[in-house]
Amino acid sequence: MTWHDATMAGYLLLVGVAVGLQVVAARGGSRVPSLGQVVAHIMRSRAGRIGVLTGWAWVGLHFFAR
Amino acid sequence: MPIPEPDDRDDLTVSESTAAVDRGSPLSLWVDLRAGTRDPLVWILGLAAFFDGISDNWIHAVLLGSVAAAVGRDAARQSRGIAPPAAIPLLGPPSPPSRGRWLALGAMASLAAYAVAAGTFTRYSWPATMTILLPASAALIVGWQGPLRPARLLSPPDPVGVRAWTAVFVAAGLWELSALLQQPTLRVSSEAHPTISFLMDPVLATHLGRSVALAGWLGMGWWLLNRAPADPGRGTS
Repeated sequence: MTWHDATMAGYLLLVGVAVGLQVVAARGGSRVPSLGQVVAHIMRSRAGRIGVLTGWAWVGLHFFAR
Repeated sequence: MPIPEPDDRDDLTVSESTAAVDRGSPLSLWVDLRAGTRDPLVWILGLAAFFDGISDNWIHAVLLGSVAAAVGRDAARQSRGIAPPAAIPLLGPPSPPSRGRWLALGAMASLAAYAVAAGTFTRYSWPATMTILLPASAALIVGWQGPLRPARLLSPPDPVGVRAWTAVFVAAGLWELSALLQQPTLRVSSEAHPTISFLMDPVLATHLGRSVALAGWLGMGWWLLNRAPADPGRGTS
């Protein structure tokens, strides 16, 4: 296994865990909230809303803007 | 364990020290500065702006720095007892299913048309920069004003589940950072230790790839704006 494969495996593992958490959250009675519920919880406050939206804006800038 | 209020910073009242000093005096500015920098978000955005600035990403730095300054100013004003204006959701309650479906289709078509048009511009060009800055600024202004819709406030999620999601995002950040630090230099990518940016380069080199990525980014922004719940008892917070 090369370093490239190991790095990619790490990314795929993290995506898999996130998908798994979302699937578990979709089952009734789970203690795990969905990603949407967590984001909504963070975005109750102005600081939370602005923090999350700034992160989203930065992603767009990072990949496309000067 | 008591459940914390949605935003304890909003409970700041006029402190004796703030009320006692003259507005505009050096002491008043110091008190404002202290109140403004009490919010961790100001530090996070300020540091991000600093590092983007020294990396020659001036537009990123200006956006992050402006948001940090606005959040700090807001905190300072609240410490002086100036309450933020009441939040007025931009949109009304969700439409009936039949009308809502047409509205959603219209919004998705507009978003897709924007992504296809914006995808024609090469990355890091001024037109591409503007196609990002416009929706990003609009979303931040809307988010600052308040929630998009008068959605109800949900009960707090289970802390165990929140910790699980936090662990995933922290691990993802550390994994990306470790790949970045194992590059030959910060500006030279590595095939052996690819960052997400490096992996996205071939995708974003084509018009189709850019348009799909832009549609995803715009859709994520719309989703986030619709996530924010209204909290009728707490003003804009």
